[in-house]
Amino acid sequence: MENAPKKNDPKRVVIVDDEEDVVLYLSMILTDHGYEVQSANGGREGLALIKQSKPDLVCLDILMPIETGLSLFKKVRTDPELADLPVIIISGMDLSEKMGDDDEGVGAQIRHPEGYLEKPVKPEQLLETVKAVIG
Amino acid sequence: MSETQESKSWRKAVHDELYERVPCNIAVIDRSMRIVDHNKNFSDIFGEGIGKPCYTVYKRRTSTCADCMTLKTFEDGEVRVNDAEGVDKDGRPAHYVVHIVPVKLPNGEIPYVIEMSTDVTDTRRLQREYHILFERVPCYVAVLNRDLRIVRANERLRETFGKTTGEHCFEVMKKRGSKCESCPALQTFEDGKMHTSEHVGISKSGKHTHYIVTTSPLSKKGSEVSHVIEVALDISETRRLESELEKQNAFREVLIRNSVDAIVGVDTQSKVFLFNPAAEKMTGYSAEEMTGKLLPAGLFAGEFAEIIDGDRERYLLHDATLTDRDGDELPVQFNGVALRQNGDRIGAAAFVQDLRKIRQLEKEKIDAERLAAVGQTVAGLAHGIKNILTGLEGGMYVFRGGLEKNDQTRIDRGWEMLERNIDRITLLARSLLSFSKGDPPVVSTIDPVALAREVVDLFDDAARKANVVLELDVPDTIEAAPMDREGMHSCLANLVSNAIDACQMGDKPDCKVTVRCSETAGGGGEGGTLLFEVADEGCGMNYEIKKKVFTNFFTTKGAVGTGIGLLLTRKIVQEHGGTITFESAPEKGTLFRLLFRRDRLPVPSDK
Repeated sequence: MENAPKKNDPKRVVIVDDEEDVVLYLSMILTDHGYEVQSANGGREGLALIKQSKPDLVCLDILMPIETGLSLFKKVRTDPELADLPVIIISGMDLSEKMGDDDEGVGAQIRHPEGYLEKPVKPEQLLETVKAVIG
Repeated sequence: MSETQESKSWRKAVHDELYERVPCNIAVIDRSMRIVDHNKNFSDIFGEGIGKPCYTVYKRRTSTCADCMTLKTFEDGEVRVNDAEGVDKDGRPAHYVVHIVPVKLPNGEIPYVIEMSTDVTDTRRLQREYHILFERVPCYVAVLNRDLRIVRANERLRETFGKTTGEHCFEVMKKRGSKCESCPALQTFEDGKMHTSEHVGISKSGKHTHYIVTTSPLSKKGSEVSHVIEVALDISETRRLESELEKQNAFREVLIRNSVDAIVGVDTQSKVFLFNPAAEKMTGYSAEEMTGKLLPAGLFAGEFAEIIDGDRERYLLHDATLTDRDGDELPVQFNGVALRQNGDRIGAAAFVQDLRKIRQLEKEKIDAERLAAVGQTVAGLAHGIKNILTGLEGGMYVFRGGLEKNDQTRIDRGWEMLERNIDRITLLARSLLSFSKGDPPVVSTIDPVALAREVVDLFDDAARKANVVLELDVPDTIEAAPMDREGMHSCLANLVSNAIDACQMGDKPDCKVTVRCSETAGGGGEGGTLLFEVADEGCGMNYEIKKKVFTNFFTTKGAVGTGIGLLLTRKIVQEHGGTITFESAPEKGTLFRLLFRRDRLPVPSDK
């Protein structure tokens, strides 16, 4: 993998959330702990950024205008280039109901996200989950 | 014995007199078919004929007739009687019966033939007329003999019942093998009088045929009636219509008796002739005490009197009041119509629907919807609060990190985040209060076009700054409507504000937002429907967002929105008895539609 970071390179995380304060908060927690963070304010910009930067992890909000986090998640999972990319969903919603295979759920055949976090998120919760997924 | 001169002379005089006076046309024809003599009666009918060929005089022909009977009598000396048709001196057809008698000489020679004709033109005409009458009269006519066999039947009887002549009438008309029990023909044979009775026969196609039959004596043999004529009038269609009418009456009676709406009929003097059980129940008066009496004053809306008086054809009042026997007022829908017979006014009918249950259900429905909306709002509220809490959490984290690292920029950012999210939760709390306070709408009569225009004017500046084209599409006038001005203004303003935001979230340059107001005609006597529309060409909504538009405390506007606007809009629309719907497609735009049926709009607060 030519884009893969070298052993000591910081892990790169993309945060996709339409709330600027949330982006700022999550970014600061992660940068304070040695991660490299890029962010996007909506689903569409998020997909472009993920494709372009091929990060180690994506932190994704669910409710966003135009393109929702769930829709973006499905696109990531079904794109052969991105299918292995770990995703953590961070949302104010109860997430368990979203993972069903009905018309708006993720679908049974799609691999579920690597982590869920319900807002509000404590810094240690975020770090713990991110570490568990990408180290 | 030889005849005397005197008696010869007397006899000749008699013969001459007889020749001239006999009521018969006499002509003497010679062997060349020429008329050698005729009497005056003959010339009165056929004109002067002596010396002319008989065929010219009788028939205006130029040659002898085919099958000429006179020629045959010249040949065989037989007397013949013949029916003949000719033309009289005025050119009219003449029918006559002619006796052809040869004048034989002792040697057997026949030099002359005497033709004695009797004019039967009038008789033939009458016969023809009677025949046509017999055949064509729109009745079944039959002549029966004493065995009850049909001697003659007219066309209609033959067509309806099939083979007739020679058959028994009961076989033909009733398809039975023996006499009927009460046979009017038998009675007429017995007493010689006319008899009439109603019967049901069976036609040749097997259909029941109702008819009224009258039998009359036709001819007698001695003192006995030998033939009877029976004339039967088919009343099957009348019986069918009567039965149909009976069915309809029975159906109408059931409808009226079992109607849940009160049905009251009055004549032009306001006297009651119909008061159904629902009317009894609704008003407290009984049909027995009301029938034939004047309608109690004040029972129905005053408009009913206008219909009874002939000033109005119909009144439909969606919100009327009925005052019952005890003076209690009931909310009703009142429908009054003029009753007419052949165009003449014969009274009026009132159809009254008790609206108490419907009103109760409507109120319960609105309450239930409000409760459900509040419930969903509260559930969704948690989501909104979580986002703000995350912002507060974030503010604290950034602020604390700034303090720890003595980084003023970070301290400032953290502080701003805290302030911003405290503002958001304050706004949220305020909006929530306004949503849940449940003040009744303040209804006044407003001009819908002016309202739409006010809202468009209000957002004119904001739209221009956002590079959005804001347009108003309204007709010149729309009938005023009872509405809560402030509430409706908030609804439209909220939709226009959302539409401008959606334009900004989309990619389309010169994105357009259109506010429309229109009226559609109502059907079935109901009022029309008032329609407001706000359409944008903005980012649109996908399935997931669409599902949440009214059901959650939901915003796609991040920190800018509280998510309460559309909930509030829906609440106001529902309080006006209206409905809110929308269509949306991602990147195409959204159309919100507010529909208000005029007959469901609230009553102005000052009434």
